[in-house]
Amino acid sequence: MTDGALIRSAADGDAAALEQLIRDLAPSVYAYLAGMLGDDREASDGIQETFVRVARAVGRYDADTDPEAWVFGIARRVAADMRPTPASPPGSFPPPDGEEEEWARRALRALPIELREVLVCEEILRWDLPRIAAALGADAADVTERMLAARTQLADDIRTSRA
Amino acid sequence: MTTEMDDGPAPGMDHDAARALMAAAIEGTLDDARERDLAVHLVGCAECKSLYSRLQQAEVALRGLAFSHPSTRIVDAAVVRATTVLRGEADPGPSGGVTPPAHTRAEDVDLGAFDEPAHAPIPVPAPVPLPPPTTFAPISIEEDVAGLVDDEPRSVRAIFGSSDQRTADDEATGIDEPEAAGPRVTGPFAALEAEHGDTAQWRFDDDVDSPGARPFSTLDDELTDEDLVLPDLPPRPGIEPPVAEERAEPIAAEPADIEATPDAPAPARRPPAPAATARRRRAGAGAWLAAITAAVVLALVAGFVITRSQTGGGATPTAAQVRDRVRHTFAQLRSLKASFTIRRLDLYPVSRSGATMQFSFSDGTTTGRLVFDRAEGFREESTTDVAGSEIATTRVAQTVSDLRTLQGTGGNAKLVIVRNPPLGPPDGAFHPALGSLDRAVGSVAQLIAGTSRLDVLGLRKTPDRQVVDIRLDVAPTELTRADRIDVALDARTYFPVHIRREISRSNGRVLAPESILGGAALQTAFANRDRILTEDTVISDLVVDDVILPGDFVLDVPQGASTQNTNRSFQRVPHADVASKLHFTPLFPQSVPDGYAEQSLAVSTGTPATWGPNGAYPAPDGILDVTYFDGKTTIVVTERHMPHGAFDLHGSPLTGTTTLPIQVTPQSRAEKTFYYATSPEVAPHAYGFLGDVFVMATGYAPADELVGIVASMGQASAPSATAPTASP
Repeated sequence: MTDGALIRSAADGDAAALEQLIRDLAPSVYAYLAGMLGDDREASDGIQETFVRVARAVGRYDADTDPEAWVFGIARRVAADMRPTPASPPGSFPPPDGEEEEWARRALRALPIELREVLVCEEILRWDLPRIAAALGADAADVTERMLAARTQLADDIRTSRA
Repeated sequence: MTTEMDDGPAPGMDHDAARALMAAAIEGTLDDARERDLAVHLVGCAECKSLYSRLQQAEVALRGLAFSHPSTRIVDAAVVRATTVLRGEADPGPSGGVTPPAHTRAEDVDLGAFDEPAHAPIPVPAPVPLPPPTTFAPISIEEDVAGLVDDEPRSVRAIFGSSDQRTADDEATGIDEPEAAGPRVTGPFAALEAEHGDTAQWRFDDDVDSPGARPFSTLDDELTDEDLVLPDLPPRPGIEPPVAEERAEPIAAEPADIEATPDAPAPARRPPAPAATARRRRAGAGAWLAAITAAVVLALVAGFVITRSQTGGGATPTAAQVRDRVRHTFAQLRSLKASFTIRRLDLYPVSRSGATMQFSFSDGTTTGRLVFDRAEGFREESTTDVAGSEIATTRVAQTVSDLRTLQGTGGNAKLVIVRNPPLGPPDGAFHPALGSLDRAVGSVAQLIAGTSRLDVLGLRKTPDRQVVDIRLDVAPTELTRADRIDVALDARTYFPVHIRREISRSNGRVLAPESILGGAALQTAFANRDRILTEDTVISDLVVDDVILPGDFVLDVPQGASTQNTNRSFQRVPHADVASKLHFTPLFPQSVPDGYAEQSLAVSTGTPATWGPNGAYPAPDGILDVTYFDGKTTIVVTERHMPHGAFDLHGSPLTGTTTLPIQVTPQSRAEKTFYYATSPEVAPHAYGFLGDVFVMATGYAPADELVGIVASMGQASAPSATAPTASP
């Protein structure tokens, strides 16, 4: 059963369909939230909140909508609610040995959400451009521009950290 | 967003255009021509060069981000909360019982540790040349293909029923010419190198065709010391991320520097000049100095571009990163489009005389195209040639509801539509399946994900993609058919695009049972070689996780073709409804291998029939198929309720009325005897009786897994289905 069919079944009260949808999408939604929020504990809260909102919204799902994009739209709002503003810059670069990933997570948190999410989708979820565009409800050119802007800001953060 | 627009115009393009190219370069999508344009621009634009350096450093940091996997408890908690809300009950709120693990990443999911020893990418060894097509003395095996029972998992070949219609689900194909040994310089620089020889003699004014580019000679007076600093390559694993250089006052290169450079390998990055020497006199305008400077710049830029052409410019992943990425790719794989060529040394049916099929141990080549959608099914069109003769064609489209097979060609073609087919590989209702690639690629993905003996050989750029070359040392079995496997993974998706299986003479016995091959066959195959290539799979036109449209599953049926409809009467049912559809209590595995999840169930609603070797086994009064899938491999569990109890099994049930070469080995588990069966012609399967229920697990999985599944089956409900995940 496709994700769209699962959502429609869930809208009819089929809890098993909702469960299957959650289990299908949980890995990518969780990874997305972990990247967006920069914290596994917050991501575990975020994934619960995301699918609670999904459960409340299944009746409003439009069958013409990409189901994954629909769920990620909800996850995006959850991430925005939990971490609405960018954090402070990630600190000195290069980071000490062994702290590269933490630096990268801090750097992501320092990005505005619309820039952060494209890098999360590309660098963590390893999605290609069409899939990112579809999931984020954006066109490919916009996603490309946001990727460059995000990387440029990271580059500026690196430069600033050395100044 | 900060911009870098404060410098003057740079050669060849403006800053915005350069930034767009930088973005593409960072993402690895820059073609050679545009890469050259960018390199030219960076020579003349210090600001862009600095930005590019920092973008690369940022990218290195980003690549260290790991894919965090939710634990089962986290997912379970989300399920509990969401389904509670769905039922209209009050949201219980965040689950207190869910404690996020201190570190949710599996140990080998750590993409952030650049802990591999620093080394340059290792060129992939020259491919072992394929032995010339070898055909051995045919082996005659009785096979009445018309008498095959069709509610058993078996090869697609059996479904088609005749040699010219058999598919190659288990069998395989061949490959294009092996790639040239070692890394290749591609793109315009390769052509230039071939044309002009010494790259130090290249002249940009001959090569640059980007709008606004100026002849190099006009840049003489503008060249500074920074022009001689290569754009930074991404650091190798284990190397501290490079520190951006402080912008030095423009200086000129000393003749000594210049003379030393051409003979020395181009450094990945030039160390910052010591303070004492950082300030030098500005370049003079002397023609000799400018000329030599130009040569050095060109050589360095060429070296940079060539190196990037060979390596793709990225950081070599660690073995753990490769395992995780491959595991993730296959666990999350939703769709696939690919062309493929599989060349396999195997046992092939090559002719038939009445009910007698003749097999030959030969090099077979299957070439085809696959469209796979995890939710819908797959379509595959392929042909198999053995010793230059086409022995099989496959035109099949399989969806949840039916299996469509196009037999023959032109106006004589017949479209056979089997509705409500049973589940089970590879009898046509294998859902989902990677078709011919299920065996060739799925098994390798499984090996990569599970092995500890994986060497990352390096990054390499092919004409159409960047790849990660890896090597696996594997246990030689009837499934691996190799003791060493070289794999080129698409660096973007980590999907295997070239798989080469080799085996040594001492391990060759696993290629097929001795009783089938005989001693002479292997001797002929190896001749005087110690190692031979047993399978070479090349995948091209690869598209992963694209949207698959319904039209992609439609076969192109020739005008005038007839249609034959068959209803196999296997009804797909939800798990909760299974018990009500059967006359017996169904059994389910109490444990399935890591990563497998229940995918679909089907019960037979047709008239029971005899089955087994020569139809010797009595009719059951109920049949249930259940598929389990881990993102790479499908295992189908079939159970038959025998109303008169168990009976002696005297051969694999897949033998049907044929004498397919199936080797059966008894396996004991918990004081019960089960059987594990392998064959070049059908998927591995394990079977036995549990009470009055005959159970069988079929799929390209190790014996322990298949036997373990059937041995664990009991009346309790199956384990809660979980989506395949990449984490253990």
